[in-house]
Amino acid sequence: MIATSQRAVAVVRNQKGLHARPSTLIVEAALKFQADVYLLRGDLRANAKKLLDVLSLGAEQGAIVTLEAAGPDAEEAILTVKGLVETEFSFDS
Amino acid sequence: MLDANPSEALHDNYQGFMRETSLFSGKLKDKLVLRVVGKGKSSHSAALSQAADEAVENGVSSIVIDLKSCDWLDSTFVGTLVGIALRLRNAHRGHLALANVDEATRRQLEEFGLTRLLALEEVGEDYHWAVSRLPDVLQEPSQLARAILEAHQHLMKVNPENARRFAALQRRLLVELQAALPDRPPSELAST
Repeated sequence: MIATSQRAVAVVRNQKGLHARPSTLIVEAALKFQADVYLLRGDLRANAKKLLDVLSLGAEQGAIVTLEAAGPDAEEAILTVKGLVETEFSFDS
Repeated sequence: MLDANPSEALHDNYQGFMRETSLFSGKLKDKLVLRVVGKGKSSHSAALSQAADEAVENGVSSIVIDLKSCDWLDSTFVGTLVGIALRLRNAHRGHLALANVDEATRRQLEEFGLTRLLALEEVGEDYHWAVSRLPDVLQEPSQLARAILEAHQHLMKVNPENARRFAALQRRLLVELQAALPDRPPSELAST
């Protein structure tokens, strides 16, 4: 597999933003990939494999987040994380 | 204090959430009222917990959390309320009630199985006399991680469904805390 880097933009859809449970889902998903995945918001850069990082990003509903991934499975990783960032979860807390 | 990771900028950003919420307090006889204005988020859980514990130490036996001006509560904030209620109940030192709870928050409390533990005031009392703004409580990243962990462990303790709901979050926070505080036994990573 060839190492690649990928970049995408996502909009947070969830009503309460990336709070505890959505952030946990993002981290658990990111950990399944070899690629390093980051969420960028303004000058902030959060490691998608670290829960406190993702929570500290404070991405609320409507926030635009840039995703970066680098590694052999970067493309799949970024699609997966983008999908979660843009999910409006049925739970709201 | 070891850092549980986020870069300084990320942590500063988190502390910045405090600007989105204010907690106001007021005391009438043995009742403490804490008004939440804005979003009830984890960034204010430490201030909430500290104010409640200090009030109980000073003889308060009834704590009312007024949510009239609150947009919503995150799970850490709710878990912190549960922690306060459990401490009061276990010490036989009083009780905690929520006032002016909107429909969405009521559903959230039902979902978490908390409506028996957290009493809801049915009469919409006006608590605007509670005007003393509580100072923000700044936390190190590892303290913050522990506070989030503890709050969710309170939720997990009172409802088996919450145990399932927050199992992954607990697992991740424990892993990150163990990495940040390698000398600390796992049993001491959260105080619950």
